[in-house]
Amino acid sequence: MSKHRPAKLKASGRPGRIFVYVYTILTALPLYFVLINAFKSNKDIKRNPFIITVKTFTLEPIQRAWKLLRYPTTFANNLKLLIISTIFLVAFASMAAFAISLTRGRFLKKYYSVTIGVMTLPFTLAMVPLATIMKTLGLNNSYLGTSFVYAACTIPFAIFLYCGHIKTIPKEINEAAMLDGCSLMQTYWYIYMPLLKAATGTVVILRSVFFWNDYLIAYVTLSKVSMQPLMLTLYSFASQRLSSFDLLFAGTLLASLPIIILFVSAQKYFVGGAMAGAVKG
Amino acid sequence: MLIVFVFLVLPIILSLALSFTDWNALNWKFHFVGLHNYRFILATGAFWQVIGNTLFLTLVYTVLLNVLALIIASVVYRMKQRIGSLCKSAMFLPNLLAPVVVGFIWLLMYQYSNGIINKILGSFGVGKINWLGSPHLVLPSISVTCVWFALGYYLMIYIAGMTTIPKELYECADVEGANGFQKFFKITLPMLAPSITINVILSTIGALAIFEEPMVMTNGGPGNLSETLGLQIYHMAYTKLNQGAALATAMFMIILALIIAFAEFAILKRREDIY
Repeated sequence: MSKHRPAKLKASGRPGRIFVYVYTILTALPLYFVLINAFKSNKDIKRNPFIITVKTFTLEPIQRAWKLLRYPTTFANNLKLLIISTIFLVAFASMAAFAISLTRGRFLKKYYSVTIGVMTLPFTLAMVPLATIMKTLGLNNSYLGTSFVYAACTIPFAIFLYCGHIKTIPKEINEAAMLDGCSLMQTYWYIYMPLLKAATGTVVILRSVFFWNDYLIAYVTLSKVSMQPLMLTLYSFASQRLSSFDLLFAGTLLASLPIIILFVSAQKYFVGGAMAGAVKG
Repeated sequence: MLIVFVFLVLPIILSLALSFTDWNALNWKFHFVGLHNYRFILATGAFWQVIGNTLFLTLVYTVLLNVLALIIASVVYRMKQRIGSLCKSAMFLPNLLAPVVVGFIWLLMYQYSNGIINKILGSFGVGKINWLGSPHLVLPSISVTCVWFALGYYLMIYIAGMTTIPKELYECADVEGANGFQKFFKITLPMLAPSITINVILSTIGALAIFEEPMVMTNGGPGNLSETLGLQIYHMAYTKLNQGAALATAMFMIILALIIAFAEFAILKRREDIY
């Protein structure tokens, strides 16, 4: 199509392309400013925030922000939360999707459509009673409890995605496995999970970003300072130092870099997965 | 599934029930107080201001986000592979940041005396503008931030929707001599109707819950001119420690969300059916 495109269309496509280029640059600019100004002193940022030279380059703001964020501790906290929540999410969602797709349980299906509806509601609604429920169950200030909440918020969408993928797997595979004497759990683990790798990749990467970046759920469920993840620490340190531009830039960079690296290294799953969910939705 | 019930469905049901009581969130003791909490929040003058702010933010956010995402998607979709995906990645990148981080980044952009936007404007000889401090500019400024943050995701959904449109339609239009605008309005828009419905509803509900960006950037100020419903609930629950009022406000939010979502769904569904 592109080769035989009429001249008229080409002319009308140009303003559109220029608009997109301009918008892309505008989108990237704030990120560029964060990147360069994280390596400059406060004075240099205020003098000229647009460029960085060898003379103005310094690692000092990063070092100070590192200390203020208690980076090694909070990073480990984030990582723990991320790993536990992801394991819960994948295990529960895939099993539930397996059960929903392969059995004819009507109750399960009804319940599933209710949770899909609930999923679209903002978390602020559940926040206040949730904190008390957690305290009653003794799950406040524990990564286990917080991970349960993270998983609960993300399971409905993951089930939705898994169900979509399971539909594309021929039923005959399941029947063949049964004939060969596979138990239900074996079918799930040895046959379905390997075939659902793409869906798992999508869920893991898509939700890792959410777990990493969350502020509110962690705020509600983790009150102990030593257990708090990055975003809470970032907020409490940065909101008291609003005039230290260097620290703010360095802090935001430190807090976001790990998840950006994860995304870039796993990009193909991420974009493909977001699309799969969208089209089927 | 039990987990979803205990940690998500149950709290929401409890929110509804407990909004009629004087519950204080410390233990499970409470007394039924009828509509007292609702009367309390309605009596505070700030409430309608907050509703107004939230509706304004929702409207600007939803419209700006979807119009921009649609236009950009239709252009990017026809770009050459490499440059197109470069643009897409760049626009998607903000979506990976935490809302808290986004708030801080834009706080530094908008800052009055040394903020980067004012510096850029200054180099063109424009005077300093108080983006987050002036009553008229604070909400539009926050809307821009939120659109910057969210656009990439909606862009992806629209592009995914576009890949399902048969190429033959565009070839036909080319043969008939349709121009780019005609193709956009007569083919792309109608064929994208399902994606548009999803995106509009998702972005509306998302906008109603916007909370971290205003919290970081203005904390509701100046006065309460940028206080949103989400932020109001957070403040009531954790700074004023008035749980009943927080729950009642949350109920207003859910009602608002449901009304708007259903209205949008009805309108957009009819549009889908027409085509």
